[in-house]
Amino acid sequence: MRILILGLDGAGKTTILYRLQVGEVINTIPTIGFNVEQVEYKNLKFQVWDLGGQTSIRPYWRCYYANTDAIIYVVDSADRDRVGISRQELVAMLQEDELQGAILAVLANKQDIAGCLTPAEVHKALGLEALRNRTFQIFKTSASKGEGLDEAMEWLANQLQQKK
Amino acid sequence: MYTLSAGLWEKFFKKKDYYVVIVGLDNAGKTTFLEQTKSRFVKDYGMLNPARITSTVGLNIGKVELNNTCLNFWDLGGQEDLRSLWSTYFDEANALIFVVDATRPDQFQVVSDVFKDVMSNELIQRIPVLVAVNKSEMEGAAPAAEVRSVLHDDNHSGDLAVLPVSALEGTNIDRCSFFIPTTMGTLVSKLDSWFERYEGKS
Repeated sequence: MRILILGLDGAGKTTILYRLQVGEVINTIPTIGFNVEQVEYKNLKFQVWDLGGQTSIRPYWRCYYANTDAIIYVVDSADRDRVGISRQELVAMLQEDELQGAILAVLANKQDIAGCLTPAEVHKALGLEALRNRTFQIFKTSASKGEGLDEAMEWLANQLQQKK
Repeated sequence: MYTLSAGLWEKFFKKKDYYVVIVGLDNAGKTTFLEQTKSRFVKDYGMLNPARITSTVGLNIGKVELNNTCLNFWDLGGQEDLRSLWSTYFDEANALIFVVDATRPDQFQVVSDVFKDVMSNELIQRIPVLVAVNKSEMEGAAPAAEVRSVLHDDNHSGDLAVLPVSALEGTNIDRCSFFIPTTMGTLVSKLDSWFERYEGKS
């Protein structure tokens, strides 16, 4: 199973990847290029790709789309200013032919920060109501505290098992 | 006249894709309802284990083929702060399924308010609505008539049906799906007779 973790820079993608893999918070630096790790969850093995999210390297995301089973799209719920850009990237990505069959989990990350967007607000801000031909789910997460990731992985594992 | 007839013909006979929105309070069983529907009509569909279905925050879709119609389901999250998102799906909806948990009479007042709010939408007032009184296999579940008595549909001109169902066991689930093309069929024949009368006069 191949999973991509995507989202703007600073959303918390790398922290999430290593939370999933080693179960703890590691210090990360902005990813230029990618990190890839094997993650096991409930007897399912996932190859998880965390791609750098900076503006200049987002065009390279598409090089990794082939054979992707699921996308974990990470949003910084506290970054209200850039959620519009995040929306544009998400919309453009989901139009790609290679991702038509991929399952989508949106992680509304950094929920530990006061005043952040709620899942319903993230739904609206990302314009997800226009996404009507694909099953998706939004999860409240805090990668730094390790909250919400289990629920997201559990859901992904169920969906992927069913798809198989 | 030809363009009108052809247009109507196309609108009511050729359009086989129907979009159905599934709403209701959280934990009413909407996702289980959809899973059960899929398992009944989609060949070789492996139903999600109902015990592993969690609260929906987002969208579950389902595509079911029935005779010559195709039903596209949108199952939406029912938590309080997600209910304001429902109406964004109403513009394309051809029918609405409202799922109620029959084992929670303590929630019926909220059900009544939420239903009233949904029915206040002009788009919904025109389309068929089916109320699925779910978990009716459980002991102490309220009968469908009791649920019906708390639902107000004053301005609704579409068809309304209230049906006891069990999403878990599958009781009446297929009838819910059949309701949609059937009631659409009624709509077509109504318009058809109106149209004949109109043509007869001219």
